[in-house]
Amino acid sequence: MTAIPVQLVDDTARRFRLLGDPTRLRLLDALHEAGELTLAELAARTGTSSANACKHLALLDREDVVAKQRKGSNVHYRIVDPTIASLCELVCAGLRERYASLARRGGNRAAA
Amino acid sequence: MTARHLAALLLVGVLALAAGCGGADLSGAPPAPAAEPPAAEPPAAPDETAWTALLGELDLEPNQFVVEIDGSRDGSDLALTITVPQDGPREYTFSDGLYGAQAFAIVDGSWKRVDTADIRTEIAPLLSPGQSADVRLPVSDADSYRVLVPVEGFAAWADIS
Repeated sequence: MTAIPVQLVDDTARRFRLLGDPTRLRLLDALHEAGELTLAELAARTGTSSANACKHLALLDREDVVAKQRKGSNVHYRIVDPTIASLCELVCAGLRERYASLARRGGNRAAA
Repeated sequence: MTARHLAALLLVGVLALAAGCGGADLSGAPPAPAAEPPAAEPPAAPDETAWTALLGELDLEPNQFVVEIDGSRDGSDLALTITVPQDGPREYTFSDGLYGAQAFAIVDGSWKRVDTADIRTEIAPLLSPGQSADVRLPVSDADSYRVLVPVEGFAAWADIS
């Protein structure tokens, strides 16, 4: 493995911090499913208040993970960083595998 | 001196002490002026510590002037103008059709929400630096109000009498 430049390590850590929040992950999941949603739709789908959704979407917007666009009297959000979905899927797949492994071990112990 | 004499002397002493501690004044001296009644307590100043705690509960970071809030009472509403400063860093998104504005007042010593705008349109308006918006926020009666506007995780506020 080659040495990662310091700036890239810092930026990568910032990106993981940005994604290290359940509300933001739920918002991204909703956008990944739907493609494009309004603030109110995102708040409803993630079970949070509009003010809270607005706060987290602003953070994601500032880091160029999502973009907002005014359409009529409303604002629509969509994911613009194409790496986000595959990154989340990679982490989720690893966790699913771990759960399955733990379940198998639990099953083996119960059978023994 | 008999025991009865001693008891009588003690009784006289006790009565004299009682008179000196607010009992009947038998000295003939003019009565001392009555103590002033306690002045009415000034209205309690808004409790800034409680306000900061409230913003914490709402998961908002205090940033009072991230947007400017002007306004006055107009009938049963607060007539507000919300302005993004000209030197603001970017366009802001607000959380509902009333720009997320909420009114609070001190009730029984603590901050209580007193706006009555429970149902709000779901549009999320945007304001660019230098732009402003007029909002009418219905409220219940209070002597003065503190208007809170959440802006992308920050809390702006202003006091309105």
